[in-house]
Amino acid sequence: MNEDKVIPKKPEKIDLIGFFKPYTRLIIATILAVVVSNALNLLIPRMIGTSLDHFQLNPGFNLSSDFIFLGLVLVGIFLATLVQIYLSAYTSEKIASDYRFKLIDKLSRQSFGYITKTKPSDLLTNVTSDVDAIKNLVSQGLVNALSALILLVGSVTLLLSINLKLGLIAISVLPILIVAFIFVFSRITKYFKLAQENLSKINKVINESVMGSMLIRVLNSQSLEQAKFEKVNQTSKEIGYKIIDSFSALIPIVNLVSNLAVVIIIWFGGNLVVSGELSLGQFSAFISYFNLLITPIFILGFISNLISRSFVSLGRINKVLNAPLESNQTGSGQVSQKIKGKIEFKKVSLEYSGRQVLDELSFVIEPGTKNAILGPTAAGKTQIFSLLTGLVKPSSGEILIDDVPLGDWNLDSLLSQMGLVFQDSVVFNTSLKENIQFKDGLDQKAVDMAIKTAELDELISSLKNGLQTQVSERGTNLSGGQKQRLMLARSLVIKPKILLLDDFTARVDIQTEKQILANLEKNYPGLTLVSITQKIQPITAYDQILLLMQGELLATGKHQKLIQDSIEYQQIYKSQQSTD
Amino acid sequence: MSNYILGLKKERKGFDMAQGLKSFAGFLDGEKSKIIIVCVAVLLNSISTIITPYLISLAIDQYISKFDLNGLFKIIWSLLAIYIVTVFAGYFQSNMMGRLSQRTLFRLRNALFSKIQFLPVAFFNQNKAGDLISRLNNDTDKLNQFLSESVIRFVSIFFGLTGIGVFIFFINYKMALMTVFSCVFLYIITNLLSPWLEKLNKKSLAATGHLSSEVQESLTNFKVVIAFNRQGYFRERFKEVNQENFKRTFLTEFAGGLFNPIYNFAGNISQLAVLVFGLFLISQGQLSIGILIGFITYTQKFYEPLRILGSIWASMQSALAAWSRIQEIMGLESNLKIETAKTQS
Repeated sequence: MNEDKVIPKKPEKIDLIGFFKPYTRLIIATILAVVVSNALNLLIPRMIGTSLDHFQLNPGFNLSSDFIFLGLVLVGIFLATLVQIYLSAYTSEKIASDYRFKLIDKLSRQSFGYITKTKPSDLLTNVTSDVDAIKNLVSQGLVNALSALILLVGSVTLLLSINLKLGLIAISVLPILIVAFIFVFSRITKYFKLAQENLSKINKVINESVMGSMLIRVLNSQSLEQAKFEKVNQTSKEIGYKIIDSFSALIPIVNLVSNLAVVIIIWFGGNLVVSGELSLGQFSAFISYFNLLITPIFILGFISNLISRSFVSLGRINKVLNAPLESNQTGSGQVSQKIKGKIEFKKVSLEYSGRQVLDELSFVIEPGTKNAILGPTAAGKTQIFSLLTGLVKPSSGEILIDDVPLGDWNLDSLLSQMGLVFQDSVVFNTSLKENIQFKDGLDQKAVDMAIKTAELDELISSLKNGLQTQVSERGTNLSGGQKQRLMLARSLVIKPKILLLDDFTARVDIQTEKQILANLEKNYPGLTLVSITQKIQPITAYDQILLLMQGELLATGKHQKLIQDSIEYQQIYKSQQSTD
Repeated sequence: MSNYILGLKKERKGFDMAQGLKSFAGFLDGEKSKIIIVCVAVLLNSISTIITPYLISLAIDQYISKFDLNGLFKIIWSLLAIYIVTVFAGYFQSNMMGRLSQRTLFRLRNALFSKIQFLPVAFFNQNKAGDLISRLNNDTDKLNQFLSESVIRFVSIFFGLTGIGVFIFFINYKMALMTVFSCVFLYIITNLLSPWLEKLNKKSLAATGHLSSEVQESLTNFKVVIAFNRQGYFRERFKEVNQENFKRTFLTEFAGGLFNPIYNFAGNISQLAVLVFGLFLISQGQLSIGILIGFITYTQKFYEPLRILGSIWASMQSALAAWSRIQEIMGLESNLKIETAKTQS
């Protein structure tokens, strides 16, 4: 039936080379250091063996060149490893920090719609854990896989070169071990995937419990959250058990096979020494090289899992980086002039997930006037703001500012002349000053005037640290009204020509509001004011009132006109008088 | 108002590993018998590691160099016997220990989560959500990595090292001194580096928390970022915290990695010393070549785990830093609880 749903998604193609290309030099340098330090490491058993043989041929102790050479190799290994860890740490952290910035750079240019759609919490995972996985791919994956490969190939070669027969016997254990490893690791990889998925579930529960802490306490649903968490945590434990069970099954196999091999080597090797085909020095070097053989296989097994995990992360990062920029907020238009403040809607409609939110809205707001958009909740008032600021694109119709279509404006320039006070006050976890003054280079006068206009000067002078007072995240050390006024001050510092207020009156008392309106008129002459509200009383003196209900514009005009002409307006007015 | 701000606690001076481990031991309650079984398994395993090189030395000295293949056969049989006994010890060791660490992590996470559930709203208001999430996710994960990967190795290394250390002194104390002498330097270097590394780890975790909260804050309030044209500001601020995070994590990664070449070098130098001194002793007629070869293997087996210990040390430092950040939360007194306790009494 739903066949199109069953079709599996094609895995994201990952351009590994392109991803790491900018770091070619650093990566090659790291690889070189890894090769040098491991190759030198491989020399040691051989050199020890040779010096043993030299000693036996020529008994009597003298500090021969063997030792000096060996000492030099040791210093060489030390230095090469130092360089290696410096380079791998630098390269991996550099790649991580670059990709973090690339992600943020991209995200900061995305539209509001994109961010909401992809969810901030998922994006946070991209910027933190996914980037960390890429980092580990370089710092652990690349370095360890390479080291393991060099050790494996190197010790096999050296085993064979010391004595072909004994070498062949020794490496005959490799296929057995490798098959066992592949068998176990293919099972473990499955569990690792499950563990990873479960970890994101755990993270989700944690995120929700932190972000929704207030609600959880209000609803007293802590034990519900606790149960939710214990469930995912339990799953995590069970998956962990499975990984451990499969993995520890490997250990007796590896031990048995490799120990048997050691016994065989001693037996045959001993025979070869007795028959004079092998020197004692070679015999001891042989055992050392055989001991080097096992660990790299373990490491390669782990790395293969690390690599597959980081590919998932790489895919997720690429998806964010390659997502097309949604055009409505890129400010593609060219017009960037000073605005007067005229706003015009021509038959503007907005559909939002299949629902008609605004229906052919047409109105004109003249520059320098005071306007109100009045209506009950869900009338689509806030959507008018979203449209005006370019956060949302209209489904049809046209919006003009100073008779220029919104799309032709350079959005950056336009927004820098518009003041916005959202319904939900968004406060950042920095100082009051930084919360008001988002941008650098604004003069102090503008800030002072904005603070005065928003009636915040008394509050600020009452604070010990004044403007430098830290505001907590989500602004909980401020009252609702204070936050609203902070939002107002923030939008006023840029000396806007248009000021949009969303439900400002809801949390600010009438007295203060009146004062603020008077301040606005005095300090910002020529300002076009558009205020969204549910209350009539504060807007009776406004130049124009737009009555909006269920996305339709029912009436426009001054208070005196509407109170006579519009039945709906009369009803709202009456209901508010009775409640007040 | 009660103070729930995390990250204010002053840096404790020096080395608080013992204290960290002690407070952590509380999460191991009820595992005592299992820990003992694991230790027995590890002990058996270590014995095989310890005896094998000596048997090989014997094989070389007594039989191979005397062309006595029948004698060699005896050694082969004893090796086989030891291996078969210890094969299963390895299984028990990793399986029981692994399961134990999973259970510990389970308890730890549950305790932490339920602690958070019963802290008052003030706690959430006074701390950045991003940082809290980072503590709960990132830091427990660091601890998880340490528990599931490093603890087993840690225990087996401990037994292996002491075993070899004691055993080789019985074989030949002069050679044993040569084997272990660089340990003294390792001990000193580790003690010098550890407090520094611990500090670096704490700072780097804090920088990561800061970065995470910066992203969290701006993305959840993206509407404002766009409407106020704050994208540039967001980028600039992120650039700063990202750069800071880069500096911290790079330095921590590098410093943590330092242990590897240092331990490796120490092991290699000891091996060289064993070789030179051993040959000298042989020329003096005080040592056999088989024992020298045995000691070369012992030196490898002694320093290889130490080198692993060195790299685990770094991960242990970062696990400890994570643990201390988690402990900060665990140590908070909830005024909710106090109030209910008061009303009850």
